[in-house]
Amino acid sequence: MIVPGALLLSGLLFAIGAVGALVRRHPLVVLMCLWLMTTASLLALAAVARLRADEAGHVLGVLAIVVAVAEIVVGLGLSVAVFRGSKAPDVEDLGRLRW
Amino acid sequence: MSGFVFLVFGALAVAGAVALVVSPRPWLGLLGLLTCCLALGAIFVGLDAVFLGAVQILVSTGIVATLWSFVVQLGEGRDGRPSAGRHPYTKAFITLSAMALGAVAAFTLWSSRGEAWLPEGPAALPRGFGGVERVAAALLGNYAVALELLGLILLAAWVGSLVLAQRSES
Repeated sequence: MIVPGALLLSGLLFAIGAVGALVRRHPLVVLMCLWLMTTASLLALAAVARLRADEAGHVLGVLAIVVAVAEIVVGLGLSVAVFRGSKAPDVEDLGRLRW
Repeated sequence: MSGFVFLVFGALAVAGAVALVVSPRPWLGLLGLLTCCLALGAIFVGLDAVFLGAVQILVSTGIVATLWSFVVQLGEGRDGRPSAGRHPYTKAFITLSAMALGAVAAFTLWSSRGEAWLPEGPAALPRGFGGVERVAAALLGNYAVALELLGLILLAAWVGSLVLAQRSES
């Protein structure tokens, strides 16, 4: 009963997370929005796994969670390294990789 | 999980996600994200993904929240310049999200009457579907190589975060 609704909810949460990642400028909030997008994609995986009665979606979800955690750990390390001591952390100030 | 319970947890998840995006302080956004992750964990259980839901709740509310709690304290009250106040489109964003949630609710109720464009899947699932035993058997069986590669990725992330921390201290 809830599989189609779960797919729609997944798309809605992914869109909200994408808007936050694009609009917000605090680096930690951007990371949290990226995590929200990852979680929304996990919901779609779980819904499709239920639809097909196939546990490959669950396995892929567990693997995706671990990869996302690794990504967030590195992102947090970067944020702390770059913005430590700054009064107003802002991703607009990250210009080291621009060319 | 009935459609009504799904809608309650879905509304909680969307409210938490909207709070994450619109709240000017990172701490409030963190609380919104935790609400969203808890609600999604419940929906996972409703989708017969019990192990995935448990991992989602443990990882999101345990490890990541603790990690973020420490790091957010570094920047608490020092939000970026444009985020310090309300964004001019905050009300429009909240309204649009509420309308989208209403559409999801209407579609869920409509699909519960058996008129959905997508089938619901088999009613009778294999015994233990989505449980720890079956997912672990798949992880250590068909997906063993992916699991090993995942260990390498975690090791690389661990070493990378150590290098970053040492560099920031020096």
